[in-house]
Amino acid sequence: MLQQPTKFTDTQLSAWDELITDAAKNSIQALTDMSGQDIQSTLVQPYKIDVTEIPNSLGGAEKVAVGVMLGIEQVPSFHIALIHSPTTAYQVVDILMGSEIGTTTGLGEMEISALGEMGNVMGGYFLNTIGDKTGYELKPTPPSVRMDMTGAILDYAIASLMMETDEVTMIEANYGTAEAKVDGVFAVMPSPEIQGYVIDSWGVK
Amino acid sequence: MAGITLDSLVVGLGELKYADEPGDELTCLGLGSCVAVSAWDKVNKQGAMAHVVLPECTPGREPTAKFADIAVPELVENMKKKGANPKMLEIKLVGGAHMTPVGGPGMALMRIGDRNIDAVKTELKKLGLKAIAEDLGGNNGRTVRLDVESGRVTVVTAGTDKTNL
Repeated sequence: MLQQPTKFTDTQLSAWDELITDAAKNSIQALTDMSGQDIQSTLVQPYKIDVTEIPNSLGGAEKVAVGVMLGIEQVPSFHIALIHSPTTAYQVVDILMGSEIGTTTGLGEMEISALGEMGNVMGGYFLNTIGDKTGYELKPTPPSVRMDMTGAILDYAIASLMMETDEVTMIEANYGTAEAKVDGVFAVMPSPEIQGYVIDSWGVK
Repeated sequence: MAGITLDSLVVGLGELKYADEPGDELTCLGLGSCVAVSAWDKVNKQGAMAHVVLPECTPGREPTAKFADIAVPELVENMKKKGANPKMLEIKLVGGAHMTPVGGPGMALMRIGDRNIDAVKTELKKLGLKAIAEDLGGNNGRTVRLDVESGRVTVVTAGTDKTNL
């Protein structure tokens, strides 16, 4: 049975930030392992953001993007997003499939599957890192892959977060390869509720 | 952003905005399950738009325009204070798409888009009002713009040309 979230101490918040930073680093490493490419990344330190500002921080609500979204089985208010421009998403598929860059020009079943698998792997590493360090197992949902306006891609995540809170601590990593000039964003948006469950389970005071 | 004029007033998630200057354009960008409520007063050439995210304000939450049950009455009341006759408002609704749900327990059942649509229509009905046009449901994102001078409402779906509503 899940425990009710608590008000966090500075020590708990600091430990949480460190935890999700490590988890994000592992996710990028997983992408390197999966693709066989040297993935270069810039990790944005965890930061607090008004939920309504999330689409703007990930490229703008109207910008057309390819998004891979994952949640967790325990609660509806924890979201992992991979956001790429369509061109970038096609390049990512080429990298994952070992094809020459420029081969992919659209999203079919196979391309969607490849991007979904990328979400599975990166999301899985993120959640496994949390599980390994805290003992609190977070089970990912199957990924959803769609091309649409960024605001629309994120709408479910935002609505579910807003049911609970107006502000979340988000962590973001920008990544790419020098050769393919691929730029993507990996963002994790946990609600305070799930943050509370993990911290309670972890035992950090 | 492509297609946005200098006078565009972006109505962000959970916001309610009003405009009455010629050339002003109220805009909700990238709507998915959210619903934009657009109201235009053709007598005074003024408009308002709300960007509704959730159907109802739950206990303990600050009552803001992100909730349909707060946004709709507030939008109509504000227009009334600005001199509009609520019965004469041209109200148009856009959004409420069924986006692929991702998440844990209950997410698949949430049907946020449908619930937002129902909540907005219910609130309008309570006020004796009804939308004269709508572009609702489906499963694609939309951007909607209201030109407050002409009352023209346009809708753009990802990768398509804009259409008048």
